[in-house]
Amino acid sequence: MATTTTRDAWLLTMASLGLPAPAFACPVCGVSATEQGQAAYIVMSVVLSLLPLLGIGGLVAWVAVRMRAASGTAERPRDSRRD
Amino acid sequence: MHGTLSPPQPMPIPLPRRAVVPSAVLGTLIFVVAEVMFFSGMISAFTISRANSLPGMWPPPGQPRLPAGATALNTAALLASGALLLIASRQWRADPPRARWTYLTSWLLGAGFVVLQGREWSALLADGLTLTSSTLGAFFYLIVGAHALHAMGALAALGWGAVLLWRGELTRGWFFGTQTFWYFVVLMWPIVYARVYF
Repeated sequence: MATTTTRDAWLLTMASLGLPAPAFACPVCGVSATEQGQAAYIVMSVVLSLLPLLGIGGLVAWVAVRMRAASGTAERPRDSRRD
Repeated sequence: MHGTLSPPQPMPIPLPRRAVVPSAVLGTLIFVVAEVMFFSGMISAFTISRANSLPGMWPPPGQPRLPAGATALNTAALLASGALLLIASRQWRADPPRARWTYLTSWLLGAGFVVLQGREWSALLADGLTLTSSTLGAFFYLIVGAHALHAMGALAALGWGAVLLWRGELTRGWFFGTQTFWYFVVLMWPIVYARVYF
């Protein structure tokens, strides 16, 4: 029973992807009067979706690079200034 | 009675621990990521509102044009402030007292940016662009005002850093943390300027 429900939900989700117009989250932005408005909505949706991933991913990658660099220079003398 | 004592073994000396990233910098960077999303949300709303305006209706009729030319001077002052803080940081690493005047000049340029923005605001208010006069006015004061608040907060932290620098008490954490936040303020401004003023 549960398997059937899961499969139906999955099929419904996949089918909804074929209907992008009703899937707009914001009824005001998605149904803009101008093509320019719709394009701006889609572009900004992509930007806002990717930006947190880039921000957090970039931060994690930067810390990882610093850790790798620090492990290679662990025996260097410590900076005497206070942290 | 007692057995023969073995010679004392030398205790292992732990290696000194060094932070990979200063905690203040890491904390500020996490905060900056959140702030980037805050500004992105506002710029996104502004971009969509502007794109939805009817042809010939942006800027809204009867509203003053934003002084993009005059603001270029403010922008140059802010960018110069960021560059000088980078130089001050390098000087401070080599010899802290050497960084004093570069640091102070950087702070003064940042303060100049905020003062010039304030003058620009008073002129725009006198010309009729207010928070409620139009969509442009609402977004302008919201986005540029949020940036100005961040700039003032960062300047307060940098100002206290200047006091500590003169006393010889400036720490790495305070300097690099405030420096990171100031770079966020400096680098966010050209995006706001390009998006809102043009």
